Amino acid sequence: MTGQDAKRQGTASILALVVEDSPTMRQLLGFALRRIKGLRVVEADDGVDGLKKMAEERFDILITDINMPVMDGLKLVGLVRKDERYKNIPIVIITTEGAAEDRQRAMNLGANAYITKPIQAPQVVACVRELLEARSGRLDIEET
Amino acid sequence: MGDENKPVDGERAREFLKTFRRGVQFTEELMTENERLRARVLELESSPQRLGSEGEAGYRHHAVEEENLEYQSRYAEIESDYNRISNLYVASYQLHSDLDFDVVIQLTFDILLNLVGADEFALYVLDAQRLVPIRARGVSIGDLPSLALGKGPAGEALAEASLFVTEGELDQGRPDCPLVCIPLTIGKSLLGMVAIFRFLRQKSCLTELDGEIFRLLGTHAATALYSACLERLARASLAQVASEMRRSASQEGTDR
Repeated sequence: MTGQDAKRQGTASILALVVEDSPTMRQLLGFALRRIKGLRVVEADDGVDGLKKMAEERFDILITDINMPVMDGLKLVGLVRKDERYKNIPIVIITTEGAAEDRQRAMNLGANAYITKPIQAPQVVACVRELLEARSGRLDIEET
Repeated sequence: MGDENKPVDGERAREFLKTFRRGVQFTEELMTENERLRARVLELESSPQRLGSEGEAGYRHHAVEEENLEYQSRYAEIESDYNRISNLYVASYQLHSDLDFDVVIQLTFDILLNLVGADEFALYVLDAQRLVPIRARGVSIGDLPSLALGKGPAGEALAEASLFVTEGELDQGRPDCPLVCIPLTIGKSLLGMVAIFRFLRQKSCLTELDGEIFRLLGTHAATALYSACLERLARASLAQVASEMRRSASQEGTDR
């Protein structure tokens, strides 16, 4: 079910995929992102799991870590950008890697935002809202 | 004479009429000006009220702006509180989500890395007045010396089960000189400690929230690790009991 389908059914209208191997971060991001009205979070443990989830549902935004087992976040971003369905999806990287070259590499691969850990929940929420608004052209993506 | 004067009188009369007409025109002009001035006076009389209401609107606008700023500041405070509470809740929830010893250590490390932003750290257990490293991230266990209770600033703090935080820069940590030592305590008993030697490069200072997470780890990680150990022992005991029961049953069967 896509975000649009969900909207028609009156359920969550924004679908976010969080790809993170850390259970702590998955839970924390879940708390933060659910503050955006109508947003539903789907979680994946690594890049491969993320791709599997992306094949099952149509997501409105992707939030991913870089350092993960099986498939890292950068590989995931590269593959997602090659997929016609997801070539315009907003991608947020949330990582421990704070070096400028890591940031540049991620942005070159097609990430839209790069946030370093430890995160501030309001910063993540603001970033996701901004990307969703820019994508949809709407300025009414509210916080609950 | 009279005839001589006639033209003069006529001229005078014309002069008079001319002057009179000018007077009339002047009077009309005066009356018009008077009307205009009267209107202006009325306008000026009403303008202080208008200025007053504009001032009142300005004052109300200013008050609303101030109220907005207050709400904005309050909102930022609430956001900050929400962030703090979320972090503490998640840390506590994760620490008590499993009873496997290795998983609890992994979760403790996960919190240190992701919520605090620690890069190199180790878990120590207390063994005969010395804290001995048992698991580490980012550093080799072999490079970590054990720490004597009561020796050095960190050892002294730990002897009193107190949190130790360096007064120096955050990039000055060494294996023999941790930046932060978090005592792991059950009640008043010291079980071990978590030492942090390095933070992520983007972590420039410690926050109030870091302090709260350190204190939470001090008690909750200790309880979780202690419970995981007890569970492992209980499981071993249970296996021993089951084995003993099987052995006894088998013995009984043989006896018959």
